[in-house]
Amino acid sequence: MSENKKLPVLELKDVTKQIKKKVIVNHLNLSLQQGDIYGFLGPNGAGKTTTLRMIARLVFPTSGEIFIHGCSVSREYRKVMSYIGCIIENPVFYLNMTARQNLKLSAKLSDKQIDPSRIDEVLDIVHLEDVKDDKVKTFSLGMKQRLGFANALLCHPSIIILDEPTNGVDPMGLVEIKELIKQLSEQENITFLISSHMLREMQDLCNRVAIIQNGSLIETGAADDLLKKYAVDNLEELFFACVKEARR
Amino acid sequence: MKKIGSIVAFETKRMLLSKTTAIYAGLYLINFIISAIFFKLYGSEYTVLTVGNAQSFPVWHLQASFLYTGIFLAIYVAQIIVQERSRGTIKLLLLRPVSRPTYYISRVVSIFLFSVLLTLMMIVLSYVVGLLFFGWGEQMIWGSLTSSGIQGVLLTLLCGLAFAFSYFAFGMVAMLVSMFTSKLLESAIIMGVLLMAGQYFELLSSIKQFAVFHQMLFFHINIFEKPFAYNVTSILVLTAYCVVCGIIGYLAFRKKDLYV
Amino acid sequence: MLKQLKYDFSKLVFQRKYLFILIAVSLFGILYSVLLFQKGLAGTQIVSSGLATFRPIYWLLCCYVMCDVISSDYHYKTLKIVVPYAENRAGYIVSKGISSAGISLMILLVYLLTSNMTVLILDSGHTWGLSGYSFGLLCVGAIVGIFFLESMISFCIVVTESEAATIGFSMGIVIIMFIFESVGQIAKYLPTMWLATLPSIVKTEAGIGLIVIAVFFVLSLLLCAGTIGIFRKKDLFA
Repeated sequence: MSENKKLPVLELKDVTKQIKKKVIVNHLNLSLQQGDIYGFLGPNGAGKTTTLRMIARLVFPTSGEIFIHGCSVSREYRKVMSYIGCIIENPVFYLNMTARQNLKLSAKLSDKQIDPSRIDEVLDIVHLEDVKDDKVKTFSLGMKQRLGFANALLCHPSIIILDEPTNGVDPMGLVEIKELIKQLSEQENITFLISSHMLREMQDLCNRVAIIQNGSLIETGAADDLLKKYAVDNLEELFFACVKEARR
Repeated sequence: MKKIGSIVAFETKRMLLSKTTAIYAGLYLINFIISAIFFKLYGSEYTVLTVGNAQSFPVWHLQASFLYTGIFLAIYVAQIIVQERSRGTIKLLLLRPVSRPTYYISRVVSIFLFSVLLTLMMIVLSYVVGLLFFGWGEQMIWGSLTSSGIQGVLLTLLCGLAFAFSYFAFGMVAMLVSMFTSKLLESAIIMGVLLMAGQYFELLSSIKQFAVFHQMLFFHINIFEKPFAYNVTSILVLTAYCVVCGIIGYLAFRKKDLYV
Repeated sequence: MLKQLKYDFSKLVFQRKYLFILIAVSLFGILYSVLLFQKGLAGTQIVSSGLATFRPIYWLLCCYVMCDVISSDYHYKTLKIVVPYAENRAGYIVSKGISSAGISLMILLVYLLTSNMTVLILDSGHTWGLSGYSFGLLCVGAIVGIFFLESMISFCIVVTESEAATIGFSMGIVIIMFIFESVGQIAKYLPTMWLATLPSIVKTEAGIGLIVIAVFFVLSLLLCAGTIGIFRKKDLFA
């Protein structure tokens, strides 16, 4: 256990993704510690979602290695996936099944023994308790996003990867998700890696950030330190400053 | 193993409850009713039946359903392979501790179960239609074989199993094709055209035994009519299709980037 | 509706797969005509025999093309983008039908053209056309057959909203008709046979033949009307 605390929870070592001649992710190095809420920022097409896909092993890196709790994603896939909960790009479910049925299927595929009450618990957490027996095809985008979040929480992960988690969520939902992320990080020491364009929300949430552009990491570190370094007041200005600098 | 079981159980439930399976059942029923009516009106001239009774009805219609069953199986394979990718629901499984080999094996098992389901569906529906139009009858007559009662039913089921195995081999070919297509429709139509063209292998007597299409048409018949050595070759041919397509399909899937 | 039709035809032209289909059909026409010429058949017989062989493949291709055109918006979930721009939903569905029928007819015409041209190159004495066929009646037969198939497919996709169910249903219907073709008495009245048998029906059994065709035509019209009626009022959660 103590050895795991020293190890980064998630580590990307020189990860590259190249398709034919186009480099999508370029020698990316990232390191997340337990309990971090890590903002993964970048303009459109920077390579954020591709990076998250590589962590989730939907896409294979051209080179480099990814480790979760010291286990290689390529060699110990099953062990690694038992630590992770994720929403990649947009949550997808079987539309003709209810929310509960989709989560039940997901729970069956976990390596951990998931109590049936956990399904109701996570649906309550994301405030979908009233629609848990409705078919997913009747859900709005925001409801699917919440269901995706519930799915990510289902198997007691130690790291949760969220790709645009607030996409389509109403303002009330936004506040609830933020509160939930903070609570889970503080109380259960869950690590979050969040990719988002909602920089104001990320400002309140993230203790560390990484900014990526054209597949390359242009800045990383504690949010407060970076704000001081660039003499800016908020993440939005930091983002623009870093991207401008990189473009020069 | 447990995960393969869970995924297969889920797929089985989906296949049993889906609209598409109901449509297939409907089309088989129409086909069998047409056949029964034609036999009643014109005798065996315009149908595959030579004997008008429920006992013989299923076995005669197995071979006749070549195009139907092949296309339905190809569509099912495309649904569980291509459509899962195009809709992104493959993510729901692969973002859990489900390795790609586990996922792939569950697909293979599902294809086998679907070919068995289609066969059973045909057998049950044809018994029903046969009973309605002709009654049970005294004997099951099929080529040089005669039987009756439970023995006849068991013979029919054995034929069905052989039939399902040959279609499973075709399903594996369909799975291989599905690994390289991006739309369900493309995969289904490629297999449909292959089925149409594959019948022409019957003209090539020296190699037809090695064509999966020949086995789809005749394997369930040849196990009773042909010598043991011939049948062993046929089993090996079908197994080879399953193994080779399975391996190549897995190699294609193993390292496939899934932008879902 | 004209705007929708223009949009659908532009999409067809833009997508290379239809071009590949036309090229494949042309190649088949050329190769099969050469094969039959080498067997010693006369020019118009080559074209007619080729058409008889091509016919089943043609109907499967029509299934593909029609399912592809009509269900593409369902597949890509672009209904919500396209339908609001359509003048009305009826226009949207009719436009899909016309464009899929158009490309289906073009496949047949390309085949006949390449087949005839190949024979003309091989046998300079060949006269354009088919053995005992009228080209015009062939086209009419094809159009009515295409209309029947297209009405069934549209109805299925609008009701089921399932691509798999639609392709299964459409190919199943075509195969049922192939099965009926084995019965000589009714074969010539089947939609899949009209592109081959309509000229002879008009010559020999005009009364019965035209009644059968009219029945299928009315059935297709009713199916189309039903499809449009359902689609106009359907909630689209795509």
